[in-house]
Amino acid sequence: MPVDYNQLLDTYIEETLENLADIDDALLSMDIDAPDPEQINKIFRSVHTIKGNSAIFKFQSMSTLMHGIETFLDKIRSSMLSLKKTHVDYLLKVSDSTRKILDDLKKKKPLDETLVSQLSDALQDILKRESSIREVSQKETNKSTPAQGFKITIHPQKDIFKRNLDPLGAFAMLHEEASFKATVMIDPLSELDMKDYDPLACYLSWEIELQGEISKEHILEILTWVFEEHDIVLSPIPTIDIKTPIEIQKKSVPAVPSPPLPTTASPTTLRISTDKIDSVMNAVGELFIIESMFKQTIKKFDPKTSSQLDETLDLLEKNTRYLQDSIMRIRMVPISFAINRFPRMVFEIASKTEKLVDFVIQGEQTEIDKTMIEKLTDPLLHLIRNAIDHGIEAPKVREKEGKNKTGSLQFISKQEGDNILIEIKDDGAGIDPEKIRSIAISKGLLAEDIKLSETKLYGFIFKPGFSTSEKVTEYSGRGVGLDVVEKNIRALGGAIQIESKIGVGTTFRIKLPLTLAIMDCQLLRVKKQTYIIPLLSILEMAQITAKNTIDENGKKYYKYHDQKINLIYLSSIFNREAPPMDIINLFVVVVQTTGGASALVCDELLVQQPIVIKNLAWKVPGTVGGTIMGDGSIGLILDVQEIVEIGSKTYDEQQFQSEGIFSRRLFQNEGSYPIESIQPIQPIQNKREATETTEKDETEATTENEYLCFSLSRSEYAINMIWVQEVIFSKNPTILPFSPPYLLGIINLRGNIIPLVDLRIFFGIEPCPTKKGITIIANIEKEGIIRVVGLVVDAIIDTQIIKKLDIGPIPKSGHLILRHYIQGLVYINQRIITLLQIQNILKDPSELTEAT
Amino acid sequence: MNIEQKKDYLLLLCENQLDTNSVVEFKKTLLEKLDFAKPIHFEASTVTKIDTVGIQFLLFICSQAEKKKITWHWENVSPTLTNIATLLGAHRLLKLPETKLSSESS
Repeated sequence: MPVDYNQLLDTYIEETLENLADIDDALLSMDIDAPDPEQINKIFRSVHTIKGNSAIFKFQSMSTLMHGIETFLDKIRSSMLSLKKTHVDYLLKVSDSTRKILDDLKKKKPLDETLVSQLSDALQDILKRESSIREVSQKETNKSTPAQGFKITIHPQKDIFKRNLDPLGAFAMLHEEASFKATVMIDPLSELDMKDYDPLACYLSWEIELQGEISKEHILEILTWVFEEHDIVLSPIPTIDIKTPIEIQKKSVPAVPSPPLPTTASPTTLRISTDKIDSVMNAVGELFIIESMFKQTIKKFDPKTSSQLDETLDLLEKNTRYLQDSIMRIRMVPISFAINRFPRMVFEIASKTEKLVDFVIQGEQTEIDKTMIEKLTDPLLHLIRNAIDHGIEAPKVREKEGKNKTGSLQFISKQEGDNILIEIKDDGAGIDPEKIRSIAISKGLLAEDIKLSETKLYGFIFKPGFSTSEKVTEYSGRGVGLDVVEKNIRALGGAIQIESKIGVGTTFRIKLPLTLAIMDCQLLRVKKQTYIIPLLSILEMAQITAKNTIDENGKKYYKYHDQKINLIYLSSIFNREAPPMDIINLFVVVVQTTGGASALVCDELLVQQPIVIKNLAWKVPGTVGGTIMGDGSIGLILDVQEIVEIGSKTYDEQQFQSEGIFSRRLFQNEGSYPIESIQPIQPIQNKREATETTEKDETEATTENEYLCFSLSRSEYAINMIWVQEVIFSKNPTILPFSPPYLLGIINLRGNIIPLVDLRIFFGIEPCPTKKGITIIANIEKEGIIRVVGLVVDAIIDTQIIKKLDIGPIPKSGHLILRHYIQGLVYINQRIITLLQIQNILKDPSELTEAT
Repeated sequence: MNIEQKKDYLLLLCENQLDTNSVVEFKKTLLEKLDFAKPIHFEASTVTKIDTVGIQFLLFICSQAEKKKITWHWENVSPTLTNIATLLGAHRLLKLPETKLSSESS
């Protein structure tokens, strides 16, 4: 089976990043004056692993660099060098540069040899400098002696004999170089049974004492003829320093065995591609849908006979839940993967902004879905940056205000039920709500006479371009970022909130679901459509009564604890209806958004159930996707933040917005332009001019493809069969709010949500009077992803084999944009067929205009 | 390598070569005959070529004997064997005298 180099390379990159994080972690917590031996060993182990893995990928220069760093670290742990700040800075630089190199590799760029070479040169400089200092120091004192030798431990690979390698030669060479004494260890051998003994497997290991003036490099040079370098551990026999023997003993770091390379390690863990886990997770998602379908079907049965089925179904539900939990756990990784760079970043920003920050992380082992981790890092990083740059004051200012001159910054994460809670808490200056208010007024975001709660005012911080900072720094202050933070958190199905007090500090509180794949949701009904809200966003649900509503100047509000909150009518948003006059007995779902709580009004509250989120081919405002319900219909999952934003506008504004969002310029700006108006001037075969063609042109011209021919009104059209998946009778779709007229809605096709495009309306032909039709299920590529789309046509005619040679050009009189949807025209047996360029259907007309 | 069943003990005759090839060749038959029912005597006076696989083989037999509480000892040992055993640090476990190492190897 061929080795998938790319997949292995991904693993290499991932592992190296993990090791770099460990290196950073150890370096940043290192006390330079009294380094913790275990921390140095930790760095050594990580460097060693990077070295080994780099060698496997033939990144020789990287492997050599890491080898040099190992030697350097070895000198430190054997007290031949004392650790300095410049050393730590150098190692941090190596870590940064290696990340850059990995980033390049990820983008399929070659390894940056120049950068590696610069790092190697810098290391040589350090070693030369240290060596000259040591020489001077030794000449001056003349009291210390060179290392007297090494204690060597070797745990060979089991297959060395099979590779015709024998330690004898290497041992004999060492014996010639210095006083050599070996002791063999036979632990695995003595535990073996007769039948298990393989004479060609090496069960031996050695401890060797080598006395004399021999360098570590030379020893390794000899031993690595037979053994892998990571199987050898060398520790110097301590030099006797007459002056300060105790100090040296204290500083010496016991060497630890290096971890074996992954290729030879016994598999206690297994790396699995997330794609594979995702596909299992999707299958579990489908199980939920099937289970839901069963429940729907059982309702139709006689209750007497269905009770047993109910029990079985409960069992299925229990098992499906268990399966979901188990698979979800596989996808979970500690949040430390997202935040392991933070201490380093805090250190750097604090240094550059000349602030003193005590950064504390709590709950770094809290686990979260791996796919979420990747999207979470940047928003969290941004909040940390902001906290240091804008939150925590300069030491002098803090002292003046009676605070400790070192600011406190806390990152706290914990799991609460099915949610992850993250807090980023500083004890800095806090956010002044009055300042936000005046900026919001000056930016025209808030009318002067409107009074808002502090929570709602803080919500303005998440508006694009909104910044309360008076100065722009390298890190923040441009008002770019917090809107992206909020958007990213929302995309993860989460919510963010601010709590702040002037002079005391600010806390950003983020609530996230454990996973994005399956979410527990509340189902609700508005008119005939089912909508879904993740439970994570819900604060309260209730039936509307006279008691829990307030009527003020003809406008109704919901009483939520002591607050008076806006009512947002989902029927106004999705069905374009005026708010109902009588709302008693309708239902509210109080949801949490950045601007505080809002009450969504619906007709009925349905059940709560786990939901499998499926993407819609179109972004529908106010929704994050759809799901297939038990009865096969499609439910739309609400984006509560966006719904509240749309709902906060007046009814008239909503109408304006819904018109504007999805109208295609093709039709709106330039009017309907029926495709039927494009007709060939004369039969194509006659029009084609005889020209000299090259051999290649001839081959291309004779290439033939099969096309599916169909009718729209009185004309014939065709699309290349390679894009056609199947043909079905048109189904009644679920209507999508705010969608353009040609998007009829979405249908459930064997568990997949598919949008239906009415090609008549799309091309400006009058709508079909019978509303019946045929749907061609076609594959259309959009943004690199193949999407399945249903194309509604009048009728299928036949299929035709068409040669490229026979495809005539589009008449120049055609509409500029419309021409992008047409490949050409064909004249067959008195039929004129317009070949459609179906791949452009999902493209935005602006893309096509730019291309023109 | 050969095994001779004596009345009170098992004589294990090491031929002049005790290296990878010979160990692989004789392992099966040797281990079948080695029932560890009687004490083992090693005769290794003629061994002139031995490698680490050979030493490991001897160590295995000795460790198995000890596990089964069977005594063993050397009748004759060649200098090559003691040298190599010392170089590999196996002399103590093989109950061989430690020699002043020469550069001789297999």
